[in-house]
Amino acid sequence: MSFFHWLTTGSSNGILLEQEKEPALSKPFLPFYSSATLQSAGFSHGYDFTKPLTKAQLCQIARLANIIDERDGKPLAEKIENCPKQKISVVCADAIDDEPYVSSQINPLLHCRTEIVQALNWLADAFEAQTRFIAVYKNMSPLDTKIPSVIESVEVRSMEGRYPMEIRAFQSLGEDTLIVGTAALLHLHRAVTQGKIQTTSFITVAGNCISNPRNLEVTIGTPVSHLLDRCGLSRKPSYIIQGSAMHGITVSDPDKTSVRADTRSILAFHVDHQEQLYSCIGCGRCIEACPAALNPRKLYRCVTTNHGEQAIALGLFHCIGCSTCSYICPSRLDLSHIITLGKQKFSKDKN
Amino acid sequence: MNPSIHHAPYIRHPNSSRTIMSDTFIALVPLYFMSYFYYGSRVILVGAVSILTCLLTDWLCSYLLYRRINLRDISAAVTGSIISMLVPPSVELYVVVGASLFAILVAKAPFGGTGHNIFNPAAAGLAFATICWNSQMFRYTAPLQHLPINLNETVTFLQRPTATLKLGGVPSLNMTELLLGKFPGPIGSTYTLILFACLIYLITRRAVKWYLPASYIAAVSVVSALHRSFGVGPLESILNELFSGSLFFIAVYILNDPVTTPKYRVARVVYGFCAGVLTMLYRYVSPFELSAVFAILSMNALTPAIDCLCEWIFWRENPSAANPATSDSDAVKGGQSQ
Amino acid sequence: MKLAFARKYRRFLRKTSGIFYQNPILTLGLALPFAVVPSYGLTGVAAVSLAMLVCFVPTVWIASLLGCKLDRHWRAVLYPLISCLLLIPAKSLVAMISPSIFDTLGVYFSLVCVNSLLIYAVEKVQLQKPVKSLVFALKHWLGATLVVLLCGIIRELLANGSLWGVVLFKNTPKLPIVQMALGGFFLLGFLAAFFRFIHRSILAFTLKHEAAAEHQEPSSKKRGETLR
Repeated sequence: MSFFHWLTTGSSNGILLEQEKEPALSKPFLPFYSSATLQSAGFSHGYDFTKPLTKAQLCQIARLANIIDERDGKPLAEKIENCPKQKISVVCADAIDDEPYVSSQINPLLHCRTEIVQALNWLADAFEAQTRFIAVYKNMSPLDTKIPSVIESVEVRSMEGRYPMEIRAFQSLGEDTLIVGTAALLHLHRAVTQGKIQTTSFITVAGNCISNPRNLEVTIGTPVSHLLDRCGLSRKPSYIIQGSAMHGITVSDPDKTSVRADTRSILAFHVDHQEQLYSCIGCGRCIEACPAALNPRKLYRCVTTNHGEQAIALGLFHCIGCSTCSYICPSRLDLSHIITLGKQKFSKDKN
Repeated sequence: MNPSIHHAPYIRHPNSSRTIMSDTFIALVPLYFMSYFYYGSRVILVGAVSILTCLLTDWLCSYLLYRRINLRDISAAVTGSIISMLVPPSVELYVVVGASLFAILVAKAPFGGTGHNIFNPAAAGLAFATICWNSQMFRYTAPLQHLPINLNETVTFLQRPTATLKLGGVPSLNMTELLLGKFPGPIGSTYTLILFACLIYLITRRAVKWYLPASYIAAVSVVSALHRSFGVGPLESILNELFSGSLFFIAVYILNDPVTTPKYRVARVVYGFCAGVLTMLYRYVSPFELSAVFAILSMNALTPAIDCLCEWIFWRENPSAANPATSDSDAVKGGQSQ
Repeated sequence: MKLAFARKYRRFLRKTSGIFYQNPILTLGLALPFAVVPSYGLTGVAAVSLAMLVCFVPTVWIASLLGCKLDRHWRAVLYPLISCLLLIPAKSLVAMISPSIFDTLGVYFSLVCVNSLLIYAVEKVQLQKPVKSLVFALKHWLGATLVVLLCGIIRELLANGSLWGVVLFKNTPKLPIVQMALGGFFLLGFLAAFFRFIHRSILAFTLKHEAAAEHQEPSSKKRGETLR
């Protein structure tokens, strides 16, 4: 950013988060299967995978294997079907994990490189795409393993940027890109070579209450409490989160909540409960951190005092929901939650 | 207000309001040590009285306004120690008590308490003390002479170099004296080297943004280089004006108060620059010796106006004009959350 | 609830409206410069209140006599004119108290004839009968005078330790800022807050349960829930 731009916009396009991905990232993922996985019957698709596979064949295999892409929760078969063949020129494997503690996309990549790259090559050849690459996040704090720049002759591109990055990383690529998560590629490889249905998903179990943070390959439908027992709780957590630390949902009953196909992490935190009696001190950090160049302080005030039109005029609906403002607020205000409530409240009134 | 444990995000940045205020307080403590070395234990008494008065008044006001008393809120202690740093070591205790009471009771509590005040309470308390007890606030003693706790006839009073500057003269101080503070002055604001160190500490801890004191000092330097006494070089004039009084202390502590400064970067630079120009103007024109405090108070009144002006100039059409790439990202976000 | 007490209190407030209830300076915020600037000492207070008595009360009485007969543009000119004419006897009366007061007060003495209290009162009494309007004007004058008197006493005592020039306290530390306009505005603000506090305390007292045995709620909590 040029100096003038830095001076006048007042925002820094996001914040640098402490990633804390070790030790879960460097250790290989462990299987944690239930009987559903061990007893699931395979299927045979009848195609010869030593020859190049066509788009229709890959789509059929993905449909038979029920592969769901963990990036956005959509079935892989639908994604392949919906892309018109002529327009795809770039195929990308998404291994960006820009949120702290989560490493469930890059971990399979580091430990099952051949399979993932082979699946990526199959997809790219089926679409006749010129470019193929693997995307990783650059700003991860010191890791025990080095992330290579080329894996099996496929380029590994480090995407730079501050959090929230995953949302904005692919905007520069345009409409002719097919982005698939690395775990989905791994499941696709298994479906092609061994005829296995996807019954598992890759999950990071981490947090400051977990004794042994690891990446696990877990059968879909396992209750969250089994995962926590598997990795060990060192103290009683204040809350358990399904999803990432910035956007996740709290799990109120770990025994009854089960893991889904697009769950990427289960986190357990213990927080010293400090009474929050501070109000906004007007430090301006939220304005500097907001990647959409909004003014969270003013939006917060407008929403809490019910000034709907003023909030909309200030750009309430341009908010992308990254929660960076809440993260960085020194008074621990619930800025992003209140702004999201405001979006719901004032859109209802508008309609 | 409920604690936020039930809403995302569940991790927070380690810097909180408490850490910011404790950093500022930690940066004020070395000055007490230095002035104890110079002036004796009376300094500690003055500091303790002002900090205690401010804290007790703040808690009393919270109680009277039906709010829960936040015992961890030490912003009043920071106010108290700033007030005690800018008074002479030979000041009577009732002056300090009066300034502290005014700072909290009139400049902070009626506007809403911590985080809602318009004027910096320490600056307001000092202005009050200057107007009320003008003679007591500007008589200083020679450094390295320990003062007795109760002032008696053995104490001789001197004037400080700022008074000489006001009369148009040139104080004869060499570099060592200026930097180490071996001239009569207020309790905490003459030690330039330590203030530099404290400023760098606060910048690295992110309690202070570097461009705000930089713009203030730049403005003061430019004006003092242009308008200097006869026969004095520009560098010497700049050094005299900057370091011979309480200006540098005010640039480090009072100018950077997050509550009373504007929120945008451009607005802060404009604020610092105008405050610097006003300080030099008041130095040449006003009858009081303490001019930076009044300049900061005047600019505090204009803070929301500068914010609105910056918003109007730069974001006239819509708020995301600064970053248009994110305006269509709602669709991308929708499939990823939760 | 102590209903009998509450009723007596409300009746008292109604009867003294203008003095305690709708005090023109502390509640309605009218004629503020006259409470702040001339009340540096008792001499100024006396001068200003005497001038108000001579200018304000007859003008309001005349306003009630004329009623709604005049168009409002003529009203805005006529009443200040009457009040200015009444300033002449006021000036000679005040000169009898202390001739040098006009130097200190300057323009604020002449400005008594057009102040916001006058404009408020002449519009209020248009439909009232003459006797009622006289009582209204006198009550408001008394309310304003009491506040200004209180301000004057406090300011002169704190700043000089004297009352009407007679020095009472010689050796106490003095606070000269209270005699400036700055201190006057602060003092007025704190007086308004203080009287509001008294009013709310009386209301809280009336809302307390009479049977204190069963309901042992602390009064501050009740104060918080009912009056916030």
